[in-house]
Amino acid sequence: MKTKMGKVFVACVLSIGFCLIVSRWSTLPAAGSDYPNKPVSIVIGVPPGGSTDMAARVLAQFMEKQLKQPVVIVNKPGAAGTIGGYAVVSAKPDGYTLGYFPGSGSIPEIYSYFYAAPYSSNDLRPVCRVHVPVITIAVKADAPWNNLKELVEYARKNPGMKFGHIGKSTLQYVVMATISRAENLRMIDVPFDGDSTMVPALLGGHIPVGTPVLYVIKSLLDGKKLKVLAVCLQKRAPSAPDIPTVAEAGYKLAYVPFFGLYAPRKTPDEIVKKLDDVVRKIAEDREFQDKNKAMDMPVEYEDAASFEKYLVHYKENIQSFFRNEGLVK
Amino acid sequence: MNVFHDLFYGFGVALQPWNLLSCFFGVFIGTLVGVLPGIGPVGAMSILLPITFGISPVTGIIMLAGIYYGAMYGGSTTSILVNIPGEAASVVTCLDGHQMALKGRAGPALGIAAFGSFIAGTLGLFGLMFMTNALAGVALMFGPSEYFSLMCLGLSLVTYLTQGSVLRGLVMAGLGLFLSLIGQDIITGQARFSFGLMGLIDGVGLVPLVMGLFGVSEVLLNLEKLGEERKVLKTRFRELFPTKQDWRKSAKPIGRGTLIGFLLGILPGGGAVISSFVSYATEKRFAKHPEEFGKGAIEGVAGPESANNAASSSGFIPLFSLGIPANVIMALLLGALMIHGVKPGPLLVTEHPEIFWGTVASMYVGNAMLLVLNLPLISVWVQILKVPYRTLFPLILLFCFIGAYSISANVFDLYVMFVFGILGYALRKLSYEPAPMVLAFVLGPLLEKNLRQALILSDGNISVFLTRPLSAISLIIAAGLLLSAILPFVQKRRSEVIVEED
Repeated sequence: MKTKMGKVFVACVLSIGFCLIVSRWSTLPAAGSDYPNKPVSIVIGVPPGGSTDMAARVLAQFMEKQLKQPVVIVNKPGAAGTIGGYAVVSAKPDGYTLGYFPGSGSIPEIYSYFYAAPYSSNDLRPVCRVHVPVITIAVKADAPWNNLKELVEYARKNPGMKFGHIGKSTLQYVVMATISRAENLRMIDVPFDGDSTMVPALLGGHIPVGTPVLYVIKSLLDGKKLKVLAVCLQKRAPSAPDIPTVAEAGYKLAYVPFFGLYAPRKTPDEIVKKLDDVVRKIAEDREFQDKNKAMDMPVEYEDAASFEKYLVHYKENIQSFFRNEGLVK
Repeated sequence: MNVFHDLFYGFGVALQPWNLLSCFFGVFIGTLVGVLPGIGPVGAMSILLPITFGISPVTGIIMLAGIYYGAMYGGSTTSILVNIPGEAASVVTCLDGHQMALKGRAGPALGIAAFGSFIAGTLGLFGLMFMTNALAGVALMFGPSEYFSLMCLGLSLVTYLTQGSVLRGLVMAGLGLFLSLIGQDIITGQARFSFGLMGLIDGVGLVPLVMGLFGVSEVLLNLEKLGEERKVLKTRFRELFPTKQDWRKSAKPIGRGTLIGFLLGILPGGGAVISSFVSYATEKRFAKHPEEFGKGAIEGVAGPESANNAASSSGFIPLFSLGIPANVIMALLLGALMIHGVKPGPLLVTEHPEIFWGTVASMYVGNAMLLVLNLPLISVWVQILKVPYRTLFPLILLFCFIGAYSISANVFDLYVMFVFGILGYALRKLSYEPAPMVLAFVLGPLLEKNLRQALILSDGNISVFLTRPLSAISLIIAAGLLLSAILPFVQKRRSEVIVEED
C-alpha cells in the first residue's frame, strides 16, 4: 500500500511540475529592433466564432500583409475578457503580444462591483480604435411599436415592462437602463447569458424587447421575424443605413461600445506608431471595409491620441452610471 | 418529391471534387481530434477557420462541419478502451463501454458505437431536411419556465445513473449542483465562490472537470496496479464486430437514442451531453435486465452514442433556420458563412440553396466516409489495450493536459483538472460514482438561470411552472420518474428495518 500511494504521489508532483513548465513557457524572451521580425500574436478575450473573433481574424489577415509577418489570433476567453487583458498586460512590451478588446477588457477597474481584475487601464497602451459593434434594440416583427418613441410611451403606460440583456456589466444593460432612468419608465431587466439564448426568447415572445448585436439577427431582420427600433451608435451603420440611432430618436447616449487594439503599457513609441499607421492604412482599404460590412462590424478607426482621450471620457461616463445605479464596491 | 429533387441538387454540390476532398479532410481531422481525450473539435476548427476565408463558403462549411460530426464518432473510442471520455458527450459511454472492453468485447463496443453513430447521424439528417422550420418553431415555444421544468426532468434521471447506492448518487448530484454555482451570478453579474481567483469567475470548466474526474483519476487508479502483470486481452477478428445478438439488443436503443438526441439537440446549451445521459437512463429504465447496466450492457453504449450523434445533426437546426449559434461550434460555422456575406437564417434555403443542400448532402457522404474510416480502425484501436501501462498512461496524461489547456489557453484549467483528478481518485476509492455529478454539473447552470429568469418574467409568481402546459408536463414526468426510482429503494430499506427488528 505504501508503494502504491508513493507512485500516486510521484505522479502528482510530476504533473504539477508540468503545469509550472507550461505556465513559464508563455513568456519567452525576444529581441526586436527591426520590428516585426517574428510572428505577432493578438490576444482576444472571447472564444472562437463570435463577431469579435471574426473581426479580429479579418484584421489579423490584413495586418499580415502589411507587417510581412504572420499575425496569430490567440483566444483567451474568460472573466469578461480580463483573462485575455491580463495576458497582454503581463507580456513582454516588445510589440509581439497585442490585445483586441472592448471596454470590459481594457478598462476593468470600472467593473470592480462585478469582478476584480489584477490590472487596470493604466497597464495597457491604446494603439488605436478599430471597430464599433452594433448593439440593437429589437422587438418581434409583429410588435405594435415601430420606433423607439412608441416603445418608450408604451413602457411609460405599462410599468414593469421587461427587457432582455446579457448581464448588468454590459453596455446592453447600460443603454436600456439609461433610457429607462431618463424617461422614468421603471422597466424590469431580464439577464440572459448571451444572444444565443436571448434571441430565441425574443422570437418566442417570452420577452418583449431584446438587445442583441446586429451580427446575430441580420438574417432574422431580412426574414421579417424581428425588427430593430434603434441601434446604439453615434452614426448609422453602413450595413443597415435605414435603421435610426438611439440619438436620432432623441435619447442622449454618452458612450458607444468599441473594439480597440492595445499593447502592454511600456511598449516603445515607435512600435505603437508603426502599428497605428498600419491599422490606419487597413481601415481605409475598401476590401477591409466590405468584409466588415458583411459582418455588421462598422470600421471606425481613431488614432492612438484621440482614442486615449475617448477612453478617459468613456470611463468617466460608465463610472458615473454605475455609481448612480449603486453598482460600485 | 421536392425535397428529393433538392437533395439530388445537394449531392451535385457535395460530390464536386473539391467539396468531396474537403469533406474527407474534415472527417479525417475530426476523427483524430475526437479520439484524443480532451481535445475537441473547437481547436481544430478555429485553426482551420482562416483557410475558409479564401475558399468558397460551401467548401469551407463542408470541411468545418465534417470536423464537428467526425469528432462525435471518435469520442467514444477512449471511453471504451481506457475509461477516459474523448469529450463530455461520451462520459456515459465509459460506464458500460469500458466494462465491455474489460470482458474482451472492445471490438463489438466500438463497432456498435460506430454503426449507432452512422444510423443516428443519417436519420438525424432526414429530420434536418424535412422538419427544420417546424422544429425551430417548437424550440421557440420553450421559454425560461419550460426550460426549468425540462432541466428538472433531466435531473430526476440522476438516480438511473448510479450502479450502487442511490443515496450516494444523490450526494454526488448535490456536489455537482454546488460546483455549477461557482462563477458569475447571472442576475447581479457578481462572481460567486471564486475566492478572488480569475480562473473561477466563469466557473469550473466542463472539459477540465471531466478530464480530471475520469482521465487523471483513471491514470492514478491504474498506477496502483503498475507492478502487476497486465493480462493481455485476446481478441479474435470475429469478435471485432457486434454479433447478431448484440444487434438484436441494440436496435431499439439506437432508435430511441436517435429520437432523444435529435429532440434535445435542438435546444441550446449542452444538448449533446444531456441527450447522452437521458438516453442511458431511458435504456436502463426500459431494459429487461437493468442489473446488467454498469457491467457491460451493449445497450448502454448503443443508446448514448446514437443520441450524441443525432444531437450533432439537429444542432444545425437553430443555425440554419434562425441563424442563431447554439454553441461555440455553431458560432464558428456562422462566422465562416458570414465572412462571405452568407447569412444563415430563415432565407438561407431560398437564397443559398447550394449551401443548405450541399452541406446536408455532404453530411450523408461524410457519415459514410466515417463508417468506412472507423471500422478498419477498430482493429487498430483494440491493439492499444496491449500497450503497457507505463507507455500508455504518460501519453494519456499528456493528451489530457493538452486538451484541458487548449480549451481557453489558460494554465488555470490545468490546475482545475488536477484537483478534480485527485478528487476523482478519492471518490472512486470510496465508491462514489462521478457520472451523476457530471450530469448535475451540466444541468445546474441551466436550472438556475431559467428558474430565476422565469420568476422575473412572472413577477415572482411560482405557479407559472404549473400553468404553462409544456412546463407542467415535464414536471409531472419528473415527479413520476423520481417516485418510481425511489419507491423500491424505500421499500428495500423498510424490509431491511423489519429484518433488523426480527
